[in-house]
Amino acid sequence: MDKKTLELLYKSLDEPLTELEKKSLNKLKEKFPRLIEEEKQILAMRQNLKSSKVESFPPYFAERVMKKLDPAAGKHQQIDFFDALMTAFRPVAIATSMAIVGLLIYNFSTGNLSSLETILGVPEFKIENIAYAIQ
Amino acid sequence: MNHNAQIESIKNGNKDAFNKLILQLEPKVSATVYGMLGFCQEAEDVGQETFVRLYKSMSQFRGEANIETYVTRIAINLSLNELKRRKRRSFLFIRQDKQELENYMSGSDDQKNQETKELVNNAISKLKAGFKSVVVLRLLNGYSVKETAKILQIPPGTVLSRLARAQIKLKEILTPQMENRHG
Repeated sequence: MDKKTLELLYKSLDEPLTELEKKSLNKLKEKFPRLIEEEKQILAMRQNLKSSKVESFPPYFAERVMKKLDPAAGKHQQIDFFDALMTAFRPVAIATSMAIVGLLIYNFSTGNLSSLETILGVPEFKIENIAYAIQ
Repeated sequence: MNHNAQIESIKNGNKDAFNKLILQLEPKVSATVYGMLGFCQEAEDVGQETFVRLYKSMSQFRGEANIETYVTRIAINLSLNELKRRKRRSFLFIRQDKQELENYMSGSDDQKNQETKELVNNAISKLKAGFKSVVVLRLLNGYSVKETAKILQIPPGTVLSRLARAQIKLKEILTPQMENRHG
């Protein structure tokens, strides 16, 4: 079964087909019995989808909405914690990133060597130092 | 259902009429937000926000569009925003959808039905937002291709192609799982 055949089959489930398309689909169904099987599977799946929808919110939903619409209750509306956190920390994160980049550029431009130690301004790490510290 | 008289009453400040409208539109909105977001607390929050937005925009509602289509568009847009927000903070969360699903199921749902809902919910959650929205509107809510296109503001041809691709993906995920369950 090619892509076009499948597309025609799917289209037939959602839109009325033209006479030409109907004839073509019927011929294809005769030619490929697997197409009929495919159609059955899709219809069963669509039925499962339809029957799985949840048509109500937890109890007292309407009351909760009406409470939200009460102007007095509006003062106590909760602020989305994570959004507030992200908003609060965004300027700090930007400033810190800029400071780090600034320091790296400064160290790179003033240092004589272009080693990692010079750029980052931290002593070079050696595994022997740890071994020495442990002893 | 014609809601014109009810809408006029709400515009005149009748809150009881809006309460009734919530109850009438709740099935469409809950199917939309649970379909888009899965079974979680955020889905109910989005549902509440949908109705708050509807109430606030009621004065501008002229009645050219069907109120169901109008509220579904609000629900879809808010759900898409929530999905974007969720993507940003996904590293902070470990979701407990299964537990949430059990909490939200009505007592009348038998275990088999619950399992089907869980499988379908998991399969839909694996779709990209653009595909998810056409599946939710067309296959869960039963809107026509034309109505789906209108709600999502995309051409009907795009709805059809997204539907086809989404169903191929859903079939790949769901068919073996369903066969295992029945087999």
